[in-house]
Amino acid sequence: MSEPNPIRFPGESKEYRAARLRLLTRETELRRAMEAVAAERRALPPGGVVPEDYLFEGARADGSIGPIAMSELFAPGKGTLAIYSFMFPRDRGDMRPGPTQGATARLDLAEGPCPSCTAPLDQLDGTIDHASQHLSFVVVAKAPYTRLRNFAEARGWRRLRLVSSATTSYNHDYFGEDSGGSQMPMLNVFQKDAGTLRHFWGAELLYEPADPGQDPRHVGTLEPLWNMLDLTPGGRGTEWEEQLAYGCCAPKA
Amino acid sequence: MATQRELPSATELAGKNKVHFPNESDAYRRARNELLAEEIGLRRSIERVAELRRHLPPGGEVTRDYRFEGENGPVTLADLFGSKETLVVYSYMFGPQRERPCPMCTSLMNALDLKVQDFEQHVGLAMVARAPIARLVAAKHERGWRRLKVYSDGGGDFTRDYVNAEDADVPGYNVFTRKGGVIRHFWAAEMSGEMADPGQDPRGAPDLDPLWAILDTTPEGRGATWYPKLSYDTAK
Repeated sequence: MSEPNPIRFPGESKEYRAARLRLLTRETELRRAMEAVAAERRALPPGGVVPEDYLFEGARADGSIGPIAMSELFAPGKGTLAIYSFMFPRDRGDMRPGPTQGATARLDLAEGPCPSCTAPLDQLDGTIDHASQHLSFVVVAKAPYTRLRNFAEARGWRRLRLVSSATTSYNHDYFGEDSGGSQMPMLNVFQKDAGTLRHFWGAELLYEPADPGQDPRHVGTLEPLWNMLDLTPGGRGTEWEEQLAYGCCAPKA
Repeated sequence: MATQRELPSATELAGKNKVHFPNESDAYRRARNELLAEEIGLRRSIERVAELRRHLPPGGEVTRDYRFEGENGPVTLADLFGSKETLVVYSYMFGPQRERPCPMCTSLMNALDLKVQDFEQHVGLAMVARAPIARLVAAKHERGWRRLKVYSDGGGDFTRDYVNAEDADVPGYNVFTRKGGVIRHFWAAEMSGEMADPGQDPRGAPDLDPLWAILDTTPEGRGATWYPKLSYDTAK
């Protein structure tokens, strides 16, 4: 940063520019902190060997629906697998409205999908083509596969791969489920190394206390929604939660 | 809001962590808990920077009457707010000289498309580029976007004032506020290429495209030479 920042916006005051440059220094520090945490993550010792080749249910390569082993979720040539545990069924205390259209609307509310898990998945659906150049990204939920497929279709997801964990202990073993059996929005990353599946990293912040007035932000930087609200004067707000649909503009089934 | 001083330290919080994954080693757990403390610190840094941003002095008043061409005809900057007090304008790299929009810009836009309704609960959200509206709409359909609103800054007045004075082919991200009929600039992404650290592409903090955040959770990381493309596994 030897050159002074040449940016000046129309009509800005000296006070604005002075404060903006101080903020810019903090933003640069934040960028370096993000990079340092990612570097520390990459330097972790090898994680635990995955105890069994969990069998999920989903659409197989030939289009049929049936069991898929965890080792098969790694796309050919890819050594990294990220699994997002989608709360479907949702938290029992979650009273936000369910979908109003499609097969998912006929489920009891408690059997349906979590709106806050749906929100990042809406965004990641558009990212999958790019991310898949590097890793395999799979969404796992306890609901039967047909329910996942119906919801994904109604939601307009075109690229996310969803599989059901109804018949495995994966969610339990990897913190996608709490001790009471409630589903938890966990993200885990695995590696395949010479045929051995190993855990690499899990979003353990989910199980840490949130700071006062905040939700757990364990996958916080994954969602442009929250990052972009951090760039606005109104911020994230402490009351607002994502909904499956808003007012006039419910997505068409 | 609690100040940082009142909060328990990140190390103290991470020390209470009860998570253990199957077959993990003691060395993994030690390193993972140290990393967890860093992750908590990073979470707090993100929050602190967002708070500083919210406390900026008022930005410059917008006094020019910027006009854009939208999918349904001409609009002004004020129109882009909709019913909200805040407007986010993403300027993507798709000028008349480009056959197709920039792959890096469209990667972010891919992630935003299905989320437009959530954003619009808080802010107006506009995607602006220099190419004529017909080309922006054609590219929108080609990308399969359904909800993003695209606007052409055909004359380039807005782009020259808020993105690049020379109208260079660069991205921009600006936030505006509207109160009592007065529109002001609030914040823009000012981290330019000259501020990139060695071996890194220009990146913001936070980094808006989830693609990079996901790659930051993997053993391989972002890679130093890889860039998103408009399509994969095809001739192009």
